[in-house]
Amino acid sequence: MIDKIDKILMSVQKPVQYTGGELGMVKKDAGSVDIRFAFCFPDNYEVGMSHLGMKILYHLLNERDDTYCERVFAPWPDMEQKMRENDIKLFSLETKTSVSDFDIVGFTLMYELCYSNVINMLDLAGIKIKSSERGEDEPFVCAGGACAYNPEPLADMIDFFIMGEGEEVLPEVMDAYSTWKKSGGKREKFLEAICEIEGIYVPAFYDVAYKEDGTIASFEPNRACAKKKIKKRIIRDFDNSYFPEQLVVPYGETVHDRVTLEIFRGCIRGCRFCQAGYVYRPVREKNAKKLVELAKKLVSQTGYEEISLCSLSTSDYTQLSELTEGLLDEICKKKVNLSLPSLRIDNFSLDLMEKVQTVRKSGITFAPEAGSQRLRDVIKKGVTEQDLLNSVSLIFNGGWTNVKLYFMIGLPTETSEDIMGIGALSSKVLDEYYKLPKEKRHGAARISVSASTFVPKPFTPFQWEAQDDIETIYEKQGIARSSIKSKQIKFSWHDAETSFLEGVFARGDRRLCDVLVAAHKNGCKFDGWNEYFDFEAWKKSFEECGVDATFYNQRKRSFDEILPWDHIDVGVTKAFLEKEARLAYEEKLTPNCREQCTNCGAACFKGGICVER
Amino acid sequence: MKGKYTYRLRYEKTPEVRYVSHLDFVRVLNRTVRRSGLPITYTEGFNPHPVMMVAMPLSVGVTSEDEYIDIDFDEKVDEAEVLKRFNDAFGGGFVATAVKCIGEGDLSLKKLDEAKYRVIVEQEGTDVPDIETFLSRDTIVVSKKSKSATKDVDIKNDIKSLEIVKTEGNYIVFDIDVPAGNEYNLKPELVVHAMDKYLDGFNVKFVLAHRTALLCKGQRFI
Repeated sequence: MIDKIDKILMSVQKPVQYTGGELGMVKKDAGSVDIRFAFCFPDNYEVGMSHLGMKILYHLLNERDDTYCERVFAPWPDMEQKMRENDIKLFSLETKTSVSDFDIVGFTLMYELCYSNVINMLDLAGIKIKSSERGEDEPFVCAGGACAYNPEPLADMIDFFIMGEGEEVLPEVMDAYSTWKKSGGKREKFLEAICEIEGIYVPAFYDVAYKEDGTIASFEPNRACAKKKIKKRIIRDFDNSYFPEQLVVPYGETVHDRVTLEIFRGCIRGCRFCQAGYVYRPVREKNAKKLVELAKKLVSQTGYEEISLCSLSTSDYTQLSELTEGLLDEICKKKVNLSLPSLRIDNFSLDLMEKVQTVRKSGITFAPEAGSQRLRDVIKKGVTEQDLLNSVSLIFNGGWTNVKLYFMIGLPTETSEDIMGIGALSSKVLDEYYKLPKEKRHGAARISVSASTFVPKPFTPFQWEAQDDIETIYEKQGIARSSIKSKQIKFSWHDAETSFLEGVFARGDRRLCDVLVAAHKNGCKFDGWNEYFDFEAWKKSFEECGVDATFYNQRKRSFDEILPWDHIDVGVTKAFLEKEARLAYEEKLTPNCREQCTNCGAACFKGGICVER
Repeated sequence: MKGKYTYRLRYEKTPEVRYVSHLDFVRVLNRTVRRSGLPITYTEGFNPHPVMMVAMPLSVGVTSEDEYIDIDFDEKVDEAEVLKRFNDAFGGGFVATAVKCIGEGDLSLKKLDEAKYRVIVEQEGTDVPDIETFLSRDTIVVSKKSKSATKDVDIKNDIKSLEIVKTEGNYIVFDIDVPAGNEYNLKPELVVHAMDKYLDGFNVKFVLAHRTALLCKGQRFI
């Protein structure tokens, strides 16, 4: 009379995240498709359902008659415990099928701190954690996403990686799978076959040798089908690329619960710390008229009350005024809000914000990233103090009183003076408020300053840098804190221990696979969540495996070292990154993609801004 | 803020959406009315939302076949059309079963005073509890949780009706009528737990509730 699952669901937090059935969910007869694809998100439902890539690929795969793509999220630890107690395996939301019964299990890797969840989800699914141990009947496990550009820390667990934009690669993989399945071939044959597809990387087909000092001596394919270099894929014609005209509308609350319009991919800026600014090159825009049409369809299908523009830097969209005018016309009638993240503040954008502002004048965020002009030049953050002060003056005049300022601590070449600049700059921002005539002020201004820890990432000019150790970070956080004099400025900082771990896995190699397995055994999961991050368990895991974590995050590399991700080709060349690194030390800037091409290498894709110019 | 016309909608919450909380449901409703394209009245101000009133929140896990909501419209629309458009827009899980454009003579949802439930209980043994003995007690004291505190209350006079519908192994199905509404509310689960407390040999393992009716002085709202 009562299902076992109901007894479990009644005893866990937010059970609605495990039941599916949302509006827009794709329903198919699972028995009549050739390929069942489990799209796994290694974090909980409310984070995963906010992820744009998953929305696109879910519907893209489901457009195919031969494929049924279903969603799987990491169960929250209370649910995981109940599942383990009751011997319930990890299941999909659409049909509640065990993940181990799917043909392909695909993970999206958005940040390094989700790796332990990948392992935990495989374990909960009853799938062998290491590729080499998987039997002929087990699903193929693949992965893609931002972190896949350095695939090595998961090399032992993932059968194949997808480099670059999934919209391009996945359909070819599905075709190859369908052909292979009909041929009745061995597991290995499929992996060999997809090596033909550009952007596919099968880690088992490569051997690594190490030098005595622990650095890589050689990285070589071990069979003919494996390419020496794996080149990422991009959508050349982004304007006509696939975007779903329906979305799954969650019942429960999610982080970003709204229509997301992706206005362009890539970034012209090339801030030297930012991985996204290099790996997503070249910049490719979507036409404003198309976006307005799409927004109309999505609002009427979903009933969402908000549209948000999505890109790495909204202000760099060349058709921003046309787009926002079109959207405002359309959505004002329908009482829909428009949100404009990562907007640079000038007269145009302020005017725009006034127009779209339907809610209270809440906080506005700026990211100067570094406290001094010298250091901002090193990292190529093209913002001057005067730019920032002009912007805050504009917004204070416009009636806003809350400003958030984002900084990073631990940047290359950083000195105490640079850090003290954080306090100095914040004070100047506050001073701008008190320059307003008294009658124009609305109470006291509130400035929140937040400092994260710089983590060097692959495929950036800082990929060779040493990350500061935890003690140094604490010290530097102290300097930043003491540089802030006013009580109206609130200072917060990011936990140095999670940044330490992020740094290890960001630039890790295959020897970390065993550490991940050990960490899983030691109970590590949801490392991105403070309440579950257990640094002691991680330290123990490194120790058990005899791996020195600081080798990966706190070691300065020489430019000629073979890096674990050197076999991945993102377009931007190592030579270009080295040149940028040297310019950084000279505190010299380089032009952005729209000003002048700097021959970064991304032109090899013959797309977007590289061919428009 | 009030619209020109008020439409009363009766709907079901099916097992498919059992775990949708009341707050989630309010969000679902906002989006449903937007998708429906019906001439809904919106509040003025910074953050406009539909003018509507839900009869009584349903807890997570509880299903129902007799829920009501009043929604204001700017224009008059044929009732059958409203019903159809709502069901198209709901998209499953919640099902609209009746619509009425209400006026002066209709009961206000605020006057709601009674709720009927059908409750499935799994108990440890298979003994049928002696309801008569239970109901003939002088007091039935349970600890009742409110937002601020937990306190002991006597619910003896609140149990309007308690019957066993059927028994099957260690499952028992009850029909329970309790007071509901703004002033005083009693959850049927509390009645079940009170039986567990006072009746030897009746040990509750699990309760699943389903609301069968919302009433005002014994009358339905549509």
